[in-house]
Amino acid sequence: MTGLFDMISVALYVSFFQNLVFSGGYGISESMRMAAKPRRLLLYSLSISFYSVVTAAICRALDFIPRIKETGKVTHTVIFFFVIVVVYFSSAILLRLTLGAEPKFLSQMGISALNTLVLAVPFINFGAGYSFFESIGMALGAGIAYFLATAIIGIGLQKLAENKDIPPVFQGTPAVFIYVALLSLAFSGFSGGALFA
Amino acid sequence: MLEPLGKKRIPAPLIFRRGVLTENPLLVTMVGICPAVAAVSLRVSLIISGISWLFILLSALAATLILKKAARWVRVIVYFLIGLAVIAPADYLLEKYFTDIRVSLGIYLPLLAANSLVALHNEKISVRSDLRNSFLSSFTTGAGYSIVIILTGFLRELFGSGTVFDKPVSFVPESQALLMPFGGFVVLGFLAAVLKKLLMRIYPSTAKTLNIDITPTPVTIKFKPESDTEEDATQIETASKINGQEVSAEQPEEQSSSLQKEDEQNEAVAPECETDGDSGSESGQNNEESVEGDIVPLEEKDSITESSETVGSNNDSDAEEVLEKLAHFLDDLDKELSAQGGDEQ
Repeated sequence: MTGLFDMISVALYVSFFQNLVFSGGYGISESMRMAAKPRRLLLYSLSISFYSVVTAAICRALDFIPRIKETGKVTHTVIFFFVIVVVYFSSAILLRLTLGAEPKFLSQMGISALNTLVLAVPFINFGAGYSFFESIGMALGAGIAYFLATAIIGIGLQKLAENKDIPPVFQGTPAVFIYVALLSLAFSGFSGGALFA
Repeated sequence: MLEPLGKKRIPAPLIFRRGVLTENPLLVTMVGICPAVAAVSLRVSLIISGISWLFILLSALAATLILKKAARWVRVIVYFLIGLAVIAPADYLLEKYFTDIRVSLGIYLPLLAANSLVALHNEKISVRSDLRNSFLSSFTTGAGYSIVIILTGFLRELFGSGTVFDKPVSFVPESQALLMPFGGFVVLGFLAAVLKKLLMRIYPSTAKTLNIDITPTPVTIKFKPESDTEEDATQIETASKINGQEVSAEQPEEQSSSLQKEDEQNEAVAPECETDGDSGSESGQNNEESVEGDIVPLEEKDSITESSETVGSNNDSDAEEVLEKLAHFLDDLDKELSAQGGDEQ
């Protein structure tokens, strides 16, 4: 029961309070691009959640093996990379063989599996020393954080496109960056960030 | 943005202009932003840009020389592993000899391997170009990316910590906010504005590439007209937002398909707005066939940019036209329904 509570609290924390996309910039490029064309947002977010959860679970489980746990950061980096590649490759093969998934669909899955957000999760879990359930919570929260961030950026893009008062030099990408910066500031405020020393 | 180069011999200065200015990966295409957030000092940004540049070059060469025939979903894995091959030794060396810099980089160092710029650049350009174009393009794209990362690191260190290369600079006001991710985005925003100003002066036709095209999201609305028979029940399949105006009404298949075509046309002229996976193809050999609409000789780029602008600027008149057609159709439908009602009575 405690494990479940830990999992939910970490998931809520990293999605609503310290949104991984805004507070760390993980997956922000994919989020900004998806926000301009959010038709596949739900599928993409679910895919990110799936790959994050499976990768985080395997990486955390591997750490129960003493020989792996004792290894240094660099070895862990290599292990995390290979786990993600194996998870993506096996899921792609499985989808191709069982459901006859199209290569185009598989490459889209690849973009959602091999991005900074999914890769960041096992590193954060390792650095923070999260338990198994907390790691799963972090992974679930990554998907929710991505969905939330993309939805908020998408709304902002619509508003920015309608706003004619923005100076011409700031229209487009500059305005989007400033908008994302303000959102990032807001989320860092939730976790106690201070503007001035 | 990121137009394929093909196999024609394109002048190096033109490729340089594209990679550094008009198609700058960070400030125009908005890819690979995550490492820019990590660039909190000049020293860190130099390391990030060096590793990224090497990674972009190596993966582009691999994509052009050996990966053209591989399936796209396999190529993505290879880019990732090339990233690991570049980053693991760098990680080891930094851990051993420059521990303080390794600590500053945190988890952002391994995350460089998942840089979205590499996959996007290679899929859009490297696998569709010959070696010369691919090398020049990846070199200049890496340069454009690195320049922005270094500038970001320099400005954030200067105004965030009040130092340059860890040496104190007394005359600048410090704000810790610039060391937060917020600072990274703000600096990128202002750098993008500076670039836009520059482009508006030097290449006015390309300055609009810094504008974001937002694709209208189709919403399907179904309603049943006031009719007893199921045959008369008409489904409305058109409701699209055009420049923020929501248009939703009943319309025949022809009109809906014409709208779909229009939407597809918009996508074809503005492929840069696609998500990374949108224009995939099974293998490098099939690339040119499957993404016919995307491949455009560079010489025609300006005209395409213009046409994409025209599509954008015509949206208002298109919307009015569609609204007019819908109004006519609704009138006709009203008349038909009232005539049917009269017959039944």
